Amino acid sequence: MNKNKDIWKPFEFVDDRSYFIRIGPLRLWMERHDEEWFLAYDHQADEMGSTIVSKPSKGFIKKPDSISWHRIVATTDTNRITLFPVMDELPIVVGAEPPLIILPRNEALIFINVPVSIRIAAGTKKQVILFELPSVVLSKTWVGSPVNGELCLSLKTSAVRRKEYLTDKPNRVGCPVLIKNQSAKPLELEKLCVHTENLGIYLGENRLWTNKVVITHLGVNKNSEVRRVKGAPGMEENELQVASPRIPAKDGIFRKSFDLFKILVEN
Amino acid sequence: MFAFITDLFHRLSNVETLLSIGQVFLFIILGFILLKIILIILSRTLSKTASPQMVMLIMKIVKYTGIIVIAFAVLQELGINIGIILGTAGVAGIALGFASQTSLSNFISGLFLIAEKPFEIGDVININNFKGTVISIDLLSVKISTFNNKYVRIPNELIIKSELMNITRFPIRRLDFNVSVAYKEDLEKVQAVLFSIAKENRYCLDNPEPVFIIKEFASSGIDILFGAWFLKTEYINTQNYMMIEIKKRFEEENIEIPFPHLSLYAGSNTASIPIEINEKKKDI
Repeated sequence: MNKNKDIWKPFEFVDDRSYFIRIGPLRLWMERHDEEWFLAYDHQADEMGSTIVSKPSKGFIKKPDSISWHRIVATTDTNRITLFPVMDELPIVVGAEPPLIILPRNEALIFINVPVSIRIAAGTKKQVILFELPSVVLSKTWVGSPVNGELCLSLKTSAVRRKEYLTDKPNRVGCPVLIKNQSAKPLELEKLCVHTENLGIYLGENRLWTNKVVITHLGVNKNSEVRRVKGAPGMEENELQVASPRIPAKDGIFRKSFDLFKILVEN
Repeated sequence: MFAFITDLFHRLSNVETLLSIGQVFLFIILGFILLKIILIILSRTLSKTASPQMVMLIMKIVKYTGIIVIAFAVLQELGINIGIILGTAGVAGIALGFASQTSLSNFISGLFLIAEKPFEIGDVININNFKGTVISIDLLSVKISTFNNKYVRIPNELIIKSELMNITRFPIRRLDFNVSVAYKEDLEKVQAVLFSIAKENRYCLDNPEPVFIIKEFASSGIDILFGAWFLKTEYINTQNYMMIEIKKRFEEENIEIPFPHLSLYAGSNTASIPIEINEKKKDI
């Protein structure tokens, strides 16, 4: 059992007690007084493991004075807190470095480690979302022409060929992408724009996974066909869905494919 | 006078007249309620498909047409001959037409503006030294709110005739900085520092990449144009962050930002006039 999985388990929150939560580079402090939730956070440069500790337990880190509290008023049936991994609202552009060249009539399965956002929910039967914040602050980038394009997040990570090569980080979700080159020319892949907001999240034995995505490249001047494989990706045993797609993909495979995923061929 | 008041009292006390007045009031109330309902339905329907200025225009046309229709209906109910009023209005219209040529010109310009759509409500425009957010596009004029919250009314005819800049038309913009560095500086190092500032700035976009152009060897230093791309909503944040960071990083990297200066030479081509600085001793 991977201890990074424990972070997604619900825990009972005791009033007037300070809690410290770490999920990768995200540090989170929580308190509850007089039916008000207090929440503060920052992001560290290095990506550490995951932990939930209350004061004065070992490992508790005091909130720096420079970070201010967010006050949230929410009536909940219980003091149970659950952290959920959710995908960001914006698509993510991933750089393949060095560029991956897929020869005609070949296919390649790649894995991308995408950071998740953290949704903090309180309650048991009727959960109330208290807050949502990114586990990593990513820089923004633009895909398309300056006149007509879309805003994305930029992820500096390499696409790996085997799932074992994905680094085990609690705040990252493995996204399996199968790229099929059905064109007559080699496909040079420098960047991928992944519409992760259309993907669900599954918790396996060791880590988080998204749906599998299949891209069929038909040629430079032709649109690529993209398909999101429904259900668990089958990368591990006992995969359980923990988050639905933030934005459900539109109906129609062909239309959906362009909304879901795009191949950017750099000139 | 007394006879007139008595006559009026008798007429008003007549049941038929009272009913007629009641009918007129009912007409006015129901007419305005009906007009309001039509406007609400129209607004909801049009807002899904048409642009805000088109919605505003159609709403105004429907509203004023509705008011005129109600007014005519009320006049007819009161037994006033509408034909005479229309005839008078026709003659007055001709007179008004001659007197309001400018308004007519603005009106036609307004129609062109709505058809061409050079800007929409909420866009930031720059016209005739006025820069601000468009708050209303009407048939005669466009109203903008300047950044220091002043209300400016610009006639449509003037907009059609003038050069207009729509600053927020496209989703992303490039913010250009004119940076000058001393001749002794390594320009490749300057380029690397500027790129790293833009990369670390959360308001700047990674793509499109920033622009770095060495403009000229100027009298006091080398002039550089550095342009970073940002989302149109983040103008102030990007501008302030970049200005602060450029100054801070240049100081850290010992990159000199030159100020205009002049060297005087006394006869020799190689040496400048020696300047001796004498520190004034403080009186103890």
